[in-house]
Amino acid sequence: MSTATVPEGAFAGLRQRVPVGSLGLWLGLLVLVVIAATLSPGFLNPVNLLNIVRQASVVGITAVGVTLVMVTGGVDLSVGAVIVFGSVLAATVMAGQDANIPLACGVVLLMGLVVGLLNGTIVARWRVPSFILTLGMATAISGITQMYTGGTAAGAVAPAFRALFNGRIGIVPVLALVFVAVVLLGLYVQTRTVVGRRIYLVGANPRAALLSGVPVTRTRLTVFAISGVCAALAGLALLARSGVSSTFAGQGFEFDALAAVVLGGTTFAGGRGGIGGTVAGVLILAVSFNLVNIIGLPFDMELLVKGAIILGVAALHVAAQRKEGLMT
Amino acid sequence: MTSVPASPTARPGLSGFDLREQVARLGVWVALGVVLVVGIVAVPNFATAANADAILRQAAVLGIVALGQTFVVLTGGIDLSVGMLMGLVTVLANGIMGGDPALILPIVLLALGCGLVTGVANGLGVVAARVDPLIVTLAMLSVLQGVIFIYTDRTVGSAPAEFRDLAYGSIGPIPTPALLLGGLAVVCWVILARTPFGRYVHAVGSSAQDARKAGIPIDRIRLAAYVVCSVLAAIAGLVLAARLGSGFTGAGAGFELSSIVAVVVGGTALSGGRGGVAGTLAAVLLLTILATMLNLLGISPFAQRVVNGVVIVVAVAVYTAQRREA
Repeated sequence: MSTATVPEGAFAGLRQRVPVGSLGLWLGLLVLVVIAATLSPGFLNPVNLLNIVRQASVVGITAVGVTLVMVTGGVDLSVGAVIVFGSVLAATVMAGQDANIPLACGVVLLMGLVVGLLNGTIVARWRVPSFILTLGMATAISGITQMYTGGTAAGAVAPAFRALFNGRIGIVPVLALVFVAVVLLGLYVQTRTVVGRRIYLVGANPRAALLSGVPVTRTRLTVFAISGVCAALAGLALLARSGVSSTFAGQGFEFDALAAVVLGGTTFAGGRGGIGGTVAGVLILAVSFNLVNIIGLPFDMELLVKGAIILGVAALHVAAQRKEGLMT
Repeated sequence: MTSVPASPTARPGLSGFDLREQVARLGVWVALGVVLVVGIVAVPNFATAANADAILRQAAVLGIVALGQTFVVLTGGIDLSVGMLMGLVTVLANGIMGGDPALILPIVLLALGCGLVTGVANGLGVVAARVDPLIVTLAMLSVLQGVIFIYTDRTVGSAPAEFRDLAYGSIGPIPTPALLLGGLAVVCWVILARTPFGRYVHAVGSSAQDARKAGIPIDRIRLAAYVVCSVLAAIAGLVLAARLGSGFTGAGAGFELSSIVAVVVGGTALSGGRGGVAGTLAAVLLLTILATMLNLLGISPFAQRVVNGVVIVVAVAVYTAQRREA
């Protein structure tokens, strides 16, 4: 059954009015950019700006997938473990040989797909809360990663892999292009496809969605699969950026992605938000870190500022939403 | 779909609800019983007094922080900052004491103060700024980590022998930390099951809107839950400080997630409103005993992580299935 049988009015409150996220969020980003530009004349240099996007790519690619899961009312905490396992797996399969690159990428993306399908199947069919399920999955995957490598760095990156993905086309870093491509693809799915419509319906009211003929189970399965593949791709991006596979490199990636998504206006309740806002969230976090570096604060202050910025932007965002009447 | 068999004494309308509660409450105890029996029968050196003593001491730290996490989860919230708060308390306590027993009392007060401030800040972020608890406490995690590193970037200080008794001493045959956990658990159970505040905590978690309509000051209840959680995390941090004996900066890492796992495996729903500290306590014992068994069987810590992951997934799957059938 297609969603066309549901009266158009049923979607009214659900669809994003602005597909790029809330205006306040982008204004917040603008304020941060102005502050950074004032403090450091070099900030607005295109090379620096593109570098920020490149640095944001690992968390950004992951956050696109997590956004879709959260719009359906779920959450995916296994992405951090998938990123690490992905980068370790890629390095070991490559074993320093350029010829193995396609195989390595294929294996890693397949691993992400399998993890995503497993998450999706358990959440959708057994209706297990996704927070705790994906937390368990993360624990199991990180254990598997350590068993696989024996707890140390393993494998070697093929030279061509780094040259290709960590390089630049003109002044544009390839990883930044990959990030943008994933965002555009995600936005296309979210705004222009049937799946995109269904995820909002499932998130807003799963029961109503089911009664309207929306395949709720399949929709949930799809978003978890997308999230798994995105995280695996982010693992490849991490390997390209760092050049070494470490079993600890990804600790905390799931929370950075989650922070970006929630900053972007996608709520845990589901049915609201989207990839546009997530991009703003990712960039706000990335610019904040760059800002802390510009000011020259030590690492400990960086953590303090990170916390303060996440909280401040989130509070402003909530206040703005309340004004718009989106929240009670 | 299975239906609840009607018994002559069952009160209509209430029987279904009660059964669900009982299943959620008893599931973890059954699992604990099974694991204990398997351990006693099949694992060498498991059923010894020394091992029981070690298990109880080990369970205390996770147990105390998980009690507090239960309050927050019951209100429908979550607290990711507890692990880093425990780390901060560990570093501050051992760093400041530096082996001087005269500083024990001031340190205990300082730790409780840290817990109070953190709890109030978390609570205000959630109720006044209305930011999602996950984001508030994640930001707090980052802030606390920053404070730890401002204080020190290496392992500092040492705990005086009198203070280490908090983790290694015994009162009669019972290990001191286990006694502390037991005492706190009883207090928490009484508060949640027998006081108006406890009823409000459940009510806020079941439906904040209904609770508000019923005249419950939901903001104050939520704030109080975060304060209880942080203060208990600070106490857990003190026991951890006594256990480790020095101020290791990464001491609390991971407790935020393991405390949430204990709460959920114990049958408290992440959506709030259902569950309690008894289940949490059973889950803490279950997880600790399981870890001890795997150690005794010589299974590598890496493989233990896989087992832990599987336990979490299976536990939640079973709860979900039971709740659906009930």
